[in-house]
Amino acid sequence: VSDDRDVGRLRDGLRGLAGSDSTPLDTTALRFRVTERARRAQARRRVAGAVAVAVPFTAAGLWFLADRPLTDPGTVTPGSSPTATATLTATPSTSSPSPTESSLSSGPTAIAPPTVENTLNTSLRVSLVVRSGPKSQDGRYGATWEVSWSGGVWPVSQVLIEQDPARTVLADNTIQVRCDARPNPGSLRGDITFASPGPHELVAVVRAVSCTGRVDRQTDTDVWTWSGPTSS
Amino acid sequence: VTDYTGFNRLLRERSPAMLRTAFLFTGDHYLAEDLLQAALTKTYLRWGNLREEAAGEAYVRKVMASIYTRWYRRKWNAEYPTENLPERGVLDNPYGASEDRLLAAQLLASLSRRQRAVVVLRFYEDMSERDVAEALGMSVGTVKSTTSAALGKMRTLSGGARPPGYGGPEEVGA
Repeated sequence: VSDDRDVGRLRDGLRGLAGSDSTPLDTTALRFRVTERARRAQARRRVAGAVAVAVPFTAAGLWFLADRPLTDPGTVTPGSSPTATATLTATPSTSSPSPTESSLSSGPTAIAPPTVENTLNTSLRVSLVVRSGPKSQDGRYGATWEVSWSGGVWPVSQVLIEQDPARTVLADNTIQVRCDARPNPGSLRGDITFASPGPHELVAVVRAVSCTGRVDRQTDTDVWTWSGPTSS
Repeated sequence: VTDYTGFNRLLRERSPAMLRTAFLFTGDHYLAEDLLQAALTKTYLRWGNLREEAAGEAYVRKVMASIYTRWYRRKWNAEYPTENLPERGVLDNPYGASEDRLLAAQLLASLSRRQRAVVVLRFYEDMSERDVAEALGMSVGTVKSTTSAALGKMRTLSGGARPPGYGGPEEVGA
């Protein structure tokens, strides 16, 4: 009974309260505002739909462009030289190494799908040559290694010399180069000594890194035995 | 092509009544109008999918309750709790004021949005517990417990005692 009475009072109270708002409602203006809001909502939906379609293509295009060297050819400069005896020689790019890069320098709009395919197929090539050097004063066997590289999509930023089978790092050279520089051919040379004449299996590891952190890593192996000083 | 004749008739003939419901939700005439506009806009966009014209008004009320209870985070933050009751109409018209209206105003002001929506739909719109549950996306048991709590609170208010934390709507239950 108490609940029924309370419910009745609540209903009466709500009705009275609802009717207490005596502000008149202009239904014509209301209809205009409703249809206007609906029109804007429909326009937003159309824009959202168009954006949803365009985003994947735009993202793919930006992703590709972010990995491409769009500026003038950068100059590969010697790094901080972790190994004092390492010497870097870089070949300046006086002409476009390939038709692909030439087309890229003309701007993003010139990039066509076939060109993209060809560029991505340009692989980084690495070559390692080890020559015998003079013996050191403490009787160790000297050698000179030379790593050269060409091709690739991104500039070379690191050259490692490792010794198999443990892949011990004998030399670690970082090359200071802009990530968006053109991947010029280059070479790096250094001296190293061994306790025994060999044979030693050396591996050159060349890493090229894009601005987005993608890595192209290529290696070359040379098995070397000391055979007395060699002129290079 | 969608025929909006029925929608126009609904808007012209039933908007004042729907605005009163919106006023009970919000306690403010301008917020109520905005809420009604938003609900009518959604209804307008879905009008072609409504099977019968008679369902239009129920749909508007359902959308209104849904917007009011779920949309407040970005849309209805303009409503600030105050020390004063949202009873401008009552105070402006003292000859029409009654104890029941004051009680209803006090009760609504002390409830969370979802609780307030339950009370309005259940006791003003006379919707069944099941319909209220469906409109607000809650269980029938929650509707029952909410109405029971609201009635208990009203008894407390009619006894002269203000509920704890009184002073404006609490949003914790939304």
